[in-house]
Amino acid sequence: MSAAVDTATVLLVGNPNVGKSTLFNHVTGARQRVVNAPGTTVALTEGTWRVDGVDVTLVDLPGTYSLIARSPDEQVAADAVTQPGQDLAVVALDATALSRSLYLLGQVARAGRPIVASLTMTDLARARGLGPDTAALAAALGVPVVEVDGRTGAGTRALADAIAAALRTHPRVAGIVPRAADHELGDELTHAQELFDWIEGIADAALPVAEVRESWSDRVDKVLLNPWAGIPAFLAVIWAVFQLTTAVAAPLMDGAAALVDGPVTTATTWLLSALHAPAWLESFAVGGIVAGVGAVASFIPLMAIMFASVTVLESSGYLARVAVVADRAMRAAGLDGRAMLPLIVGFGCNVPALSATAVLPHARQRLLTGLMVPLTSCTARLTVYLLLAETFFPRHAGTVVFAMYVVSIALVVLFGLAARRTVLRDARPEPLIIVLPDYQRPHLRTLGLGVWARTVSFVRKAGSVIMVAIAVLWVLQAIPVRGGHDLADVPIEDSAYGATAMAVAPVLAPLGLDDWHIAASLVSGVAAKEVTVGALAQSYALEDPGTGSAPALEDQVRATVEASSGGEAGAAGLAFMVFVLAYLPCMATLAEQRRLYGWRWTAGAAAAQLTMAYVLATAVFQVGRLV
Amino acid sequence: MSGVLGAVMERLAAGETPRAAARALRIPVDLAEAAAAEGERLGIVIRAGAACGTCAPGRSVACAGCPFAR
Repeated sequence: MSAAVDTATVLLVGNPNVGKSTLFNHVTGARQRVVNAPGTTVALTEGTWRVDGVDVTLVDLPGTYSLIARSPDEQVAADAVTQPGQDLAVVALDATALSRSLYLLGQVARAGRPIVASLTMTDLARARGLGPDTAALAAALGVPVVEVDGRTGAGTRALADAIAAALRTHPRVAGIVPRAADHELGDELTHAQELFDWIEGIADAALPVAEVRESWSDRVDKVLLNPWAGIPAFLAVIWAVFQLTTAVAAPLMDGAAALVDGPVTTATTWLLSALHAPAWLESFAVGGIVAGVGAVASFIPLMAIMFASVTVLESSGYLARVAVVADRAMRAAGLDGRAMLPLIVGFGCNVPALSATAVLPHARQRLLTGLMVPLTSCTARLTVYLLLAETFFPRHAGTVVFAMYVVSIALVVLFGLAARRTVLRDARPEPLIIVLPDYQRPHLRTLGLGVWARTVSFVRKAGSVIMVAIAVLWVLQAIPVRGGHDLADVPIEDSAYGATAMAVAPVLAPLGLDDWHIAASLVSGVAAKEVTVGALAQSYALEDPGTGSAPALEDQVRATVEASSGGEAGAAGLAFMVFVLAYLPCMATLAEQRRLYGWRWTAGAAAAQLTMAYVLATAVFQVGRLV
Repeated sequence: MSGVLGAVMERLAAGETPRAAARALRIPVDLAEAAAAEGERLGIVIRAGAACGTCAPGRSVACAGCPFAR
């Protein structure tokens, strides 16, 4: 730039909603045009402003809080500021959030741009007692600071004068050394630290001291994030959720089951008879699809209530606190705190939890966390716990389901510790740093949308997977392997399905579960955990194809386990649940693990899990029968 | 990590909100919020959005608000 100029390009930079565009519109009026930023589809508005004899092309850049861009719009702003060819930057500072605005100003200064600062929202800031001392701010920054109001135009004349002068004098921000444009990305952290320290100095010099009062959110956090009270409080909250869920959902589930067993089964049978459908089709539709899918469908009210409870916890900000509390516990055990977030996702579904391990920076940490994820008890397993808890512990179902989640957490920690002390000794634990929101009251609309989305997702997954699995199981049940029966006309115990289940069943004798129905449901559950309950219901329905008069699934399971456990049904029921929790991940989880870690780690972890589940469930039954 | 940014990160790691960190460190709230936001851009911190932790069966990880979806 020469001392006297006729034209100049000036960038208008600022945080979103700082009043930058209002100012732009006021000073450029109708002299505007919209152009695409070079090489992008991001629209920029340019305008002409005659400033003290100079035709200034004013470029209204997209609002951003930082030049470390996270969106195409922000990248355009960052590129415009850091690339050469601009004469001056006018940085709009929000007087109500001056420190935040100063960070962007510091970054622009570091990019080597001469700067004039325009101070907006001063009326609002003064009303809140936050109004800065403009003269002191200008002195501390070393560049002109002009109070403006884009709505009224107040201050724009002074801003024009400041710009005209700055085009001649190139004012630089005091205390900031411009850096080379080709700086290393690794320098960003150092630069950020320097800038925040610089802002603190400016704030001390020019900003009023504003006392930050302790909020009720802070007071609640003193209890819920207390190292000693936090975990018991979390356990109490989750226990209450399961109590509420099982108490409210039980009558709804009974109603849904009665609907499936009664009118739906009767209507399906009637319709197929009216259509003269063959016997095998009726068997498939009634004994397979209606029984299997219906058993899982009866859980929909319960899942909806469960999702509602969890949505309330998360939208209130509490679940994020759980991550912090758990992070401390994980680090105390020598595990990486950042693994908490994938593990929490795992309690919803293991497959996305494996994808979520990408948040961990080191491959060994991702592997360790990925091997722990299948031990987090996904919502699909919840259907099995609920069926068995209602069957064997109807008066304490909520507490028993809660206990399964405690066992799940304990297994995750123990498995992680064992892996870290043996095959993954080189994994480096680091803390989780999470930005907690203040507690807030959940909005009904958000709650409704969240519950709807998750329930529909559960129904879709359960519907699609179970339909396919039930069809496959039905085919296996139609293939005779002994007794000389015809295809599709075979007692279930002589089918490929029954024979396999009967071969597996004795292995479950130490668990008190030596029964082919149970063995079949466990084998089927490897396809997807949702299938476990469906397969159990289907095997009873096919064994006793009468419609409408069959005992409830809970009664059939109880009778089976009473027999297989020698009258110790409670202990065997617990062993059943522990085995389902830990035995093998579903196919989708195994496939994702294989994709991420290779088949050796996947097979090794699966074998370790199966062994652990077997030993644990055996111990539960053997100890439980003595109690 | 040192200075104001490091101090805010320590407070966040201890489970404080940016507002509580600002109160403890006697700095403006928007300075603590700016530090938290820049820490997020630098990949040091994760912002707890709504809806994390309850991925339903069959859902992708990109649930609304999930920190991994970004």
